[in-house]
Formats: sequence, structure tokens, C-alpha cells
Amino acid sequence: MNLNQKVTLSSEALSQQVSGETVIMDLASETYFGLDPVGTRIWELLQAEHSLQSVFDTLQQEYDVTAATLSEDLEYLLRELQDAGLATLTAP
Amino acid sequence: MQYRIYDLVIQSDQPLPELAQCEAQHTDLQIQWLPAVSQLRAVSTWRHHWTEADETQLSIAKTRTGWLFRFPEQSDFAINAGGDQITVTARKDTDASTLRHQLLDQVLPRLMSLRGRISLHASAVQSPHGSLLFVGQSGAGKSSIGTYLHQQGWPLLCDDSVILQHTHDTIEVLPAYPGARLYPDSPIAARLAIRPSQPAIASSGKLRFALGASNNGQAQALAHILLLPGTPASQATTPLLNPVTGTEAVIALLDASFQFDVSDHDHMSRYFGALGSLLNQGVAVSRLAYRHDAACLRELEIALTAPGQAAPSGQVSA
Repeated sequence: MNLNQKVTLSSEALSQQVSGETVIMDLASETYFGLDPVGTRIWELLQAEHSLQSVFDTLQQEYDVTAATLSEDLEYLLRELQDAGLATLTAP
Repeated sequence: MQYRIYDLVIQSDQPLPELAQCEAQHTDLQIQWLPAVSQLRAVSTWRHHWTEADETQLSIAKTRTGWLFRFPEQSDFAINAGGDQITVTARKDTDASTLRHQLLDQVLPRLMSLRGRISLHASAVQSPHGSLLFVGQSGAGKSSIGTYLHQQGWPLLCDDSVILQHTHDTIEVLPAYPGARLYPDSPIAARLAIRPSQPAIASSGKLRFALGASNNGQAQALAHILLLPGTPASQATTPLLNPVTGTEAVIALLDASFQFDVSDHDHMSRYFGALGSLLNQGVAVSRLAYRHDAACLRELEIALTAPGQAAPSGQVSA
């Protein structure tokens, strides 16, 4: 995964935290998505940080996880968000 | 004539026999009924269509003066920008019971959403522990369960639409209006001692029964929200209540919400935020699996009577 990419979240995506989880409502497709607590933290960071590298660095500090596992997990979630039209990745 | 629905006083120049009449110093909402027309006016752009089985049931458009709800080939409900006036225009072949059903059970619940309220498609009964909501799509059994429990002594508050609100430390239910709508062949309808108070609603074939009494705009403490399956075909010999929290609860209640203009980003954002905030207060939500027969309904009543199953929301964690 290229951590130099920038992440842009869809302006049509509304999110709401409940009991440590997050529901994302996509107004464009009128569908809902659920994130577990870890996904919720990633979504929070993506909302605040546009640089994937800074998101990665923060997560590595917060979670007891190897860089390889974190990279895989982050890439998986980003692919899901991209497929759902909720996020766009652009080269630097 | 003035009537009460939810906590609103509405004034209508046509009778609304489903609602309790009242005499109030103020009016929150004015309903004006225009003469019937041969054809509804042309609308160039629709914001959203609500569909069922690929058929449009209801559409919304933004107009110069507010919004327009249309039930295709039947009626228009024009709402002013302030959300305090509705003008009804119907085709000549649309009967009065269908128009009232559209107003009371579709347009007004959505208007409540525009007014910033959390408006849910649900029936409600008053249990010994507080209000129970039965949430589900049309045909899921909301009216049948509510009517059954009413017969057992748990007053039916309403059978189709409620407002959820947070007051002090309590989550409250504000019912729309009393009464039940049941299909003529419903086993529950057949067992009712009273006769339908209104003729069948032409568009749905359901009968209206005058059950319960107007709550005069008073909210009741919420005990538990029960999510009904799409069809009550569970093989469960006893009713099962499975607690639902977090994202699953939010999505279930969003699905059950009467939305106004789903293309309006600000409105949806406010509604979404209000619903999330309410659920964060600790609303008890469960999925209910049950078999749709009298024995299972009796078991359900017993299960819901158990103190742990129906503790008031807002005072315990979900």
C-alpha cells in the first residue's frame, strides 16, 4: 500500500457514533454501513487527516500491531470504503 | 375544526374522524382541502421516490413555496416552507378514506421528521413497565400484536407511527393517534368484540377499529423497542428477544424512520445525529422472533411482563 496517497471522503457520507461503533449513511446510494470500534477509529482519523501516512503512524502508536498487519487491515478497509464510493485515494 | 395528533393541534376544513377533536387557543398546523381535480399538475423534477416492488408509492419535489408530496394518480399534499400548512389536492376518483390515510399515516409522520422529530413506523402499547414499540414494515404484524396486547389489558397507544424524544433522563414515546388498522381476514380482527368504526381504506383494504383513547398529546416513558421480522414466520415455539445495540440498532431504526427529503443533506444530518444521540442514552432495542398465533402471542405477553425485559429506556444500558 502506498502510504503517500491522500484520502478524500465522500461529501455524501454522514456518520454517527453509537456505543463505540459507527454507522455511515451514504446519501448518494441511500445505503448504510457499519464500522466496528477499530474501523470507527480509522474513520475518525480519515476525517481529520488526509495523509494516509499520518493515519498509519497514529494507528501504529495506538494499537499493539505489526506494521504488516496494520497495513493489511488498513488496505482492506480502504478498499471496502472505495468500493462503496465512500472514499477516494489519490496519488501525491 | 381542531384535532389533536402527536402533540400538535391541527385545523382542518374537512372532518378527520380518526382524530380526537379539541378546542385550543392555538393551531400548529393548518390543513386546507382544495376542490378535486381531473388531473394533478405537472411536476418537472422530483427529489426522491419511495418505491415498493419497483412501483412508486410516494414522491417528493421541492417547490417555490415549500415541498410537494405526491401519491401517483391520486393526490398532492403541498407543504409550505414553514411546515405549518398543508394544502391537499386530490383527483376526483380518490376517495376520502384513502386521502385521510395518506395524510395521517404518511404525510404527517414525514412532516414531523421535517420538524426535527424522530418519527418511526411503529405501533405502541402501554405495558406495566412503560411503552413498548413494535417496529416493522407494513405486514410485519405491528397492528396485530398491538391489538392483541390491547385485548389483554395493555392499552394500544397507536398502531402505525410514533415520535421518540428525550426529556430529562427519560426516553419518551409520543403516539400519533389511537386506533388500529387491520385486514378483514386478520384472526385478531375476527376476535375483536367491536365492529370497525370506519369503512375499509380503499387503497389498502384495511378496516379501522377505534381502540384505545387519545393521550391528549402526552408522552409516555419508553420501555423497549422490539424489531419485528419482515414476515412473522418464525418457527420459534416461544418468542425470542435478542438484544440489538450499536450500528445494528441505528440501521434498524433508520430503516423504520419516516423520512422527509432524503436528498436534503442538512436535514438528514440533523436526523441522523438526533437518532444517534437518542440511542446513546441507552434505548433498549431487541429483535423479536415469534410465531404468529395466539399461543405464541400469549407467551410474548408473559415474556414482556418479566421485569428485566421491559425496563424503562434511558435508565438502564441497552
